[in-house]
Amino acid sequence: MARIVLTNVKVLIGAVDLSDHISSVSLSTTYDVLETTAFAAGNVPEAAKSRIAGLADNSVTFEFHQDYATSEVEATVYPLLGTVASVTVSPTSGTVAADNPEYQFNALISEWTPLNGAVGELATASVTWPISGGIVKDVTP
Amino acid sequence: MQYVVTSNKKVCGKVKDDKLTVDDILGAGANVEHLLASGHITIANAGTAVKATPAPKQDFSFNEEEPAFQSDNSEGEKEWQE
Repeated sequence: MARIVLTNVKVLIGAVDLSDHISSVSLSTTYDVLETTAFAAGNVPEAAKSRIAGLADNSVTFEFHQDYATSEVEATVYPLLGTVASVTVSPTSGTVAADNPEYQFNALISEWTPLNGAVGELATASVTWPISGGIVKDVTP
Repeated sequence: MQYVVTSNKKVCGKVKDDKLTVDDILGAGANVEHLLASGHITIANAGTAVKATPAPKQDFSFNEEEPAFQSDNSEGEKEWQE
């Protein structure tokens, strides 16, 4: 299994390819942990807590390079604020395959930083958007 | 209805000047209104002027020799003259 250095991640937000203005991406899934330990623990070989998974809680984090030009980052993301938008991410821009899966989901565009940065710095926007529903992992070319 | 990609970004897998249908846009999980509002697409042929078909020429000239309407009601005229 080859290791991968991320240089060409593909990110589509509302079907618009903003990959060339995103420098960092993190797709996260966690499950609520529900404890099911009961008095019948004596039946378990080793007395220990037992647990099951509850609901999944997914989110995605992006680091954008801000751009106010026509049909760029600001023009694309700002109108989506407060709405649920389709988002897809994949490790490379190549064909979707088992070694280049595409993750598809609907993110709630819950936050945005239209202007962020100090003197001399690149204008960026770092956001974490909760995902509404599940994540579909597509490996079909 | 067809749309044209005006964005420098890839939109629904298409590049600038490519055409998109509503099915293409919805199939990609996008929103037509959002793409229009954010300047990524425009309606195809939206800026093209429609050439009007000239109406057939009508002859509005009045023929003075033959009156268009002749009244047979001469009694009314007589009553008026009296």
